[in-house]
Amino acid sequence: MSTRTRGALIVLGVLAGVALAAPWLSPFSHDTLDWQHLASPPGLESGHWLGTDRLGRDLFARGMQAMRVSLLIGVLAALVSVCIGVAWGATAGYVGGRIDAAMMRFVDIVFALPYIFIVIILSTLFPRGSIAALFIAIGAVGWLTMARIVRGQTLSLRRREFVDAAIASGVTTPAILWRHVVPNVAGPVIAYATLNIPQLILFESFLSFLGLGVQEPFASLGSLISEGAQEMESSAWMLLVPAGLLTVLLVAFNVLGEGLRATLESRDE
Amino acid sequence: MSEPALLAVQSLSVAYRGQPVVDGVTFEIAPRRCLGVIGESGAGNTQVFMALMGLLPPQARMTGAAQLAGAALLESASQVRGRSVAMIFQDPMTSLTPHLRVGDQIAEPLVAHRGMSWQTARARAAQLLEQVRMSDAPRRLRQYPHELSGGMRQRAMIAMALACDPKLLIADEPTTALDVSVQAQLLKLLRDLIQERGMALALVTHDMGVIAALADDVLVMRQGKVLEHAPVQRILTAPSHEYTRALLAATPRLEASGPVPLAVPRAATAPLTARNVSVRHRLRGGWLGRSRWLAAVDDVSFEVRAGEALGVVGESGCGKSTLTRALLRLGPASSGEIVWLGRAVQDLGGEELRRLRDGMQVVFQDPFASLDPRMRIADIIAEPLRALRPGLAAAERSEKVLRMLESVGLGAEYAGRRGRELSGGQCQRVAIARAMILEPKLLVCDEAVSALDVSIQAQILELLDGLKREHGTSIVFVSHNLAVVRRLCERVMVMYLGKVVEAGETPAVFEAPRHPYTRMLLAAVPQLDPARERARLDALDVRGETPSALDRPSGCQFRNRCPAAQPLCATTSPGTEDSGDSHQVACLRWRELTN
Amino acid sequence: MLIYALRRIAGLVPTLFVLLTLSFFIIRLAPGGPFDQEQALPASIRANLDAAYGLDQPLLVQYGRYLGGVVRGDLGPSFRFKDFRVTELIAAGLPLSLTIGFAATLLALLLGVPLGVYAAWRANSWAARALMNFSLLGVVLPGYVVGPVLALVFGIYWPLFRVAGYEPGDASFLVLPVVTLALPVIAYLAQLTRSSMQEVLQSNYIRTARAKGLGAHVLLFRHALRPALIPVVSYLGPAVAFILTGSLVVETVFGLPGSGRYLVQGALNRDYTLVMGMIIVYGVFTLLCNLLADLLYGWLDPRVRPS
Repeated sequence: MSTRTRGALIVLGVLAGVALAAPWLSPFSHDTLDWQHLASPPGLESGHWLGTDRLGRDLFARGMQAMRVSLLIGVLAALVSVCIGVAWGATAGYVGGRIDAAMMRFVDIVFALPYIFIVIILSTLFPRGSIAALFIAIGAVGWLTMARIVRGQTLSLRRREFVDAAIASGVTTPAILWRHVVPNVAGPVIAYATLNIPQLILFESFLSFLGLGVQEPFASLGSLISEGAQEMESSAWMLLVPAGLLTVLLVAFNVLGEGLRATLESRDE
Repeated sequence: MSEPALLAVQSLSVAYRGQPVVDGVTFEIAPRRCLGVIGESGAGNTQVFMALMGLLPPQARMTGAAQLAGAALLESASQVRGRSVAMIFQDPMTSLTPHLRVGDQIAEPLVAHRGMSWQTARARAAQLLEQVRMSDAPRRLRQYPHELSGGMRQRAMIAMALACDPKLLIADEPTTALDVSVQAQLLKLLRDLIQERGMALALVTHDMGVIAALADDVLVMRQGKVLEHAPVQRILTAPSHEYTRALLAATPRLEASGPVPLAVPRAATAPLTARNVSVRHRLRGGWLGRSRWLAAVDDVSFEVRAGEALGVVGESGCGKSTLTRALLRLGPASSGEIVWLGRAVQDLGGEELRRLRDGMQVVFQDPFASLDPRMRIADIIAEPLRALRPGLAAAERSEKVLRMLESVGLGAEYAGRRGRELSGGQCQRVAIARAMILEPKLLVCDEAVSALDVSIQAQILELLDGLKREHGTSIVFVSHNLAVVRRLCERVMVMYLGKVVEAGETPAVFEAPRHPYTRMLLAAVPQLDPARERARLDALDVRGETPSALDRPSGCQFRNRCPAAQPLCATTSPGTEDSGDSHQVACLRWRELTN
Repeated sequence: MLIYALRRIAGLVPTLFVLLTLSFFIIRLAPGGPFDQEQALPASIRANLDAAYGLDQPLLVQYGRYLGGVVRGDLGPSFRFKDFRVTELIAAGLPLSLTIGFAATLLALLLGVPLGVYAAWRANSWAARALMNFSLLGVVLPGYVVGPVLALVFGIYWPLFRVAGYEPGDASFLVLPVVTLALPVIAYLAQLTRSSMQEVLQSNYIRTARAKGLGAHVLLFRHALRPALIPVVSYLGPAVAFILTGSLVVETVFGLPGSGRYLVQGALNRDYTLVMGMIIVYGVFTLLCNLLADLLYGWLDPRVRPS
């Protein structure tokens, strides 16, 4: 692993650790209103290390809570997309023929629609602020690329002679899938899943920005940015704090994912 | 040599990250002479010429000196590339730019180096295509590379290289990826071209036959060093270095004697019988077109006897690989009867078929691709046991695996390694071990030695021979290399465009071939005697290339390349006839042609 | 080639049809109607409203009438903005959205692709490496972060552009929105072009071209560029979709009266016809761009062309 990748891993670890430990680190909770410090800038004496928002809520606490939400949704959604994507892609790639064509056609059609449609449509189906809607919306989008990647990998594996050799040796199809296909696909899947997380987090915060995601009093990095954007002329920190957190989170995940992918590709040479 | 050297190289070395791939190479090439540089993989022979042409990647470290016609070469290679020195490469399929027309690619050096207008250059390109004997040259000018066959692309490459009349042509494995008959045509073309143009030729190859055909002098290289440098006659008949001697000994020869079929078969039941096997692909005809059926394998029948090897030979498109997959029930469905050890298997599926698989095993061409890169060698070899002998205890299984490893010449220390860590030859041994662990009666080898160096190839052939003799295993050996088939197989079957054109005992078929295609194939194999080889090239009458399977000639499929074709051959399809001594042939005129 | 194009265009119609039908039924199946959010209406008035907008008819009938309208070019009345028909609303905002979207796409192509080519050609220079690090950031940052930050920096701290109170015809106002929109695409195109070009430069036919003694320019532009652009063209379809959705954000952040906001507002207000109208418009655009990408692909790679 290169130093850059290692660095990203450490940064992520620290961020996640602080986010999880925040309730114990900060005297404020995410919805405590501090009337004496409405919209106050970051400072040490006030106890609000990252400042407060319009309603006097501590931005550190809110930021960390938002981070927890983003991480949770990102990782969980990535897991879901891995499960669906791997199952879909491996089946399509291994079985081949018409079934493969039909399965991938489905992926192509959903892929061609801007995901905003799905979001909009879903948002009309579910009541506002429903976490279920959030999950379905994100899940509906996240697994597509994974399915494509897994299918591609499975296809190229299928053509390689060791699968034929296994069939000739009398190995059953489930055993082939489990012992030969999955371990060889696992590497790229992990790399792309890690790269997928920031996209999912971005998507979630986009939804929150539009007002379709996490609702009050909970915050998501997207909703914090949305609030901050409205106040940016007078209280720039209200925008910059969540924006900064989001950026660091996304960059770290991307670097980590790219590093994993590079390591895998060099190992396969 | 009377004339000053055209190319002189002194102490050329190339290293990557401290590892030398070329080590102190010194040689000269005189004008109008051909230097053959022979070496197996890792010899560094390609790297030498890439260095001379200035085509090495930036991380390569190069030392030494070279002069082309007296002028220093190494630093100024970019000024002479494509002009006084030109190079053609091994893989014609990927060596031409896919989105530019063939004619434009040939005209390009003329426009760039001679300042011609595109119009003039294209006209000259047409002339060049005629000179390289490209069929239908004017049409080819406007085509894209993917519309040409491998042989045609290589001719286009040669035309491109000749555009600015180079004094030296470097050819890096120019015929390796091509069919034997196409190779013969191209060797003859190269020989004629260098005589007509008075060019010098530097030929990099791993094939002694190619050396015999074209080289005047030979450089033998191994692991970056020059081992021997001598005229071709001496190299081929009385080499001084033991590596050269070993290389020559390992090269299988067509004239050598091979195994003879046993008078009495070892077992009563033939391990494999095929009757009227056909494999057809359906081609969809676009929107409204009807679908057509393409027969990749067309009505093939044969029998393999116990303890014998049957060679299946043919060039690309003949269907031999499709046939092997059909025989093993691995590929798309086939019609006809396939009988394993007396049991008809063509209609079986699922569990029933799986249980019978221990009688038939396979070894594939690509040694690395046939091993799961994540599995340990011991597990790879054990897998068939786990699948088909589930009752076996783990301890017994490990013991069998270790014994198997030993019998293929690999020690116990290989058990824990992975495929990545092994060489091609070692991987192929593992593949054989895996195939043999169930003690099958039949082993199918699909081009199993084609990807290996000559010396390793000889060892694997030894191994397979041993299996035949000691275990009584029958082998179906698919190959495009006739000399290898001669070495291993008692019987042979020749295929063309999906049909069997001739079959019989190997000595009979190779010494007295009855079908014109077999004769053509045999005539196309390079000989290892330079004098005979040149005579062979002079007399060569190999025509055309294998047509696309979609475009088969009517009647006898071989007729448009056959020197003995008559109008009858266009209307009637030849059936298989027995010409005595279990020697079969499918030609309408075989009787007349034999006498 | 023309027939191929026409066939592909004809193939769009079923996809559009599926999109329309699915959207229609899913939206209608959602709980709540367009008039639920206003104060509780007496049942009779409610019934009248429903009848006036045809909401009391069976679903299939509504579907049929809607389809008929679409074919005639009438997308129905907006349920929320009761004085307007959907077509009018969309037509009011669409030109602006299209201008921004088109400008952003153009900017992205003109900047992203050459940057990628340069980064691949001069792979180890510090400029190339700086470029790639920059693009990492560009790809990751969403529009609703970049937009406000840009507005902050160039609109307030260092006022080069106006960022409040858009007036039609004010081109300088559009600079920041276009840049915000284009930035992630520039970054991604640079990365994509670079890795694609690097791969192409390793291929055998480039080695042949070098062996022919061709100069660097010819090599790059005649032999390497077209194959390298293939993944870029494949990305064009999704890129346009991305820009379309991104314009939503940009319009919100910069307060621009484009058509993007109609989609979101329509969904939130259950304004069926408005949402459907927007879906049709966006759907057509996306599919057309995918088609364009397909055709370009054929030009770049002769192997794909039907022979």
